[in-house]
Amino acid sequence: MPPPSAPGDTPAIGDDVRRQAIAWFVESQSGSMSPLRQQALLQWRQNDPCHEAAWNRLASMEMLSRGAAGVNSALALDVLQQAGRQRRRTLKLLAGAGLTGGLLWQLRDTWLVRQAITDHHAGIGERRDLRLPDGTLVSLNTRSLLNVRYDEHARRLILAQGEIIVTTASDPQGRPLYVETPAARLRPIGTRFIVRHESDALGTRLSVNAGQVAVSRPAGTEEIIVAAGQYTRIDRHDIQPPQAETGSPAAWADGLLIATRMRLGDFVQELARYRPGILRCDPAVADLRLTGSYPLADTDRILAALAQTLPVRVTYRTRYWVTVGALAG
Amino acid sequence: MSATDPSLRATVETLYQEHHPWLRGWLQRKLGDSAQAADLAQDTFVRLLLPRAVPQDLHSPRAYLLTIARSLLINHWRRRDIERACLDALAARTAEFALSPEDTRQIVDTLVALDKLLHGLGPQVQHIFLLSQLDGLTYPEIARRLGLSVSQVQRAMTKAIGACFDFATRD
Repeated sequence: MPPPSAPGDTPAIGDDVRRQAIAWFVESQSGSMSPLRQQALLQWRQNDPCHEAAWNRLASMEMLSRGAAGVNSALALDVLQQAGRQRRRTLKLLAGAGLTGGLLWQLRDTWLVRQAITDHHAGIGERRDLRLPDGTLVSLNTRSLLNVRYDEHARRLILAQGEIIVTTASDPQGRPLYVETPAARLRPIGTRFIVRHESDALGTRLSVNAGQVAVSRPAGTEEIIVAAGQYTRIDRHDIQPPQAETGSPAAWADGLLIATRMRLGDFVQELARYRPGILRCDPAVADLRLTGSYPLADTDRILAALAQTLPVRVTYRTRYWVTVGALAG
Repeated sequence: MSATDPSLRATVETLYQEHHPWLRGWLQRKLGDSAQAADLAQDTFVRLLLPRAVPQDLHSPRAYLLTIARSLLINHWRRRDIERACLDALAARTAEFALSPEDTRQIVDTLVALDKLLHGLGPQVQHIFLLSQLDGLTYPEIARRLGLSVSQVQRAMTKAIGACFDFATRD
């Protein structure tokens, strides 16, 4: 788990470090790196913040090719060659318009752009801890984007997407704290709570661990109080009445996914948040139930464990396109 | 410096007010579709919020906006080409489940990114990179499959990973 970090503190990377990082990365992908060499790599990364920064740059590229959902080399070669024939024609469309410098902007996909304009983020499978200036602690779960806006009137945490656990500190300046999502505005009253907002369609889920949280719509004035041990869901239409929390929504902070008689379909959907690529569950087995506590550090191992404890088969179409289906025959 | 620097925001807001309708018009003439033109115009301004996107002395804002808009147009057309090629290729393969639009979008995203990443590398280096990174083959397995030595595979990977590194660095 990475240490608390501030945005924009990337050290400069020289040619030597670049060469070393590339050599390490190439070796790490060989499929035959010995534990001793893995240890040496870890040592190299820890020796210098520049090393770690260079390594992370490649690790994030790896994440990109792992976003590779359902794409294997045969499909990629097919498509890229076919599309390659179109390239000249495409460029012709712009001829005369003065084609200079433009290619600079390639590969800035939506996530990268959003990430760049957000203060704090955690990538797929990452967890990150932040300590804010007032002492408030925030943990970011996988695929999360958070903006922090503190001014003289208020402390605002804006969760654009993802999931956070907030442990509040009282502010010496007495400013109120708000957590905002696209669907809700939360006003904690001395507390620890978990907020999750993955899509506007699902809305925001709030689960309160200690203390209380006052909930309203983004522009609303009416507040509902959610107490410790309760959760609620807020979407475009309404705020659900608070109910008793029966799950373990904070388990990810300990690196665990905990299931208690959970539907396999829901479990797989949950697991997919922590894995790049596509992970699907065949509807035929989605209603099987499972119970257990699973370390999130190795999701492939969790998948392997499923096949051992349930009558299911886990099929890898590619490394990043996995389906959980019924046993054959 | 974080991208939410207030002076940068102010600059971008001014640029937006003064040049947005004009840029949108330019894009609409290129694309012939007003919704797509609106999206790309919006996107052009969002790019300005990236760290270091706006040069210190911006003499000719329109030329600068056009540079960005043009590259977005190239990306847009390129993406469309890849999307078509991809839908063809997927249709030709049997899937055990029908792909949802979200899955398809993810696959197209990945291919678009790979296209950019691998552009400029030789076909053999590309092939080796894809076998390693997409199929998860070890270097000896790749060497066997392509009839090469392991050190040739290693050299190709060094080249490809070097390109990845420079790609991730440049902005």
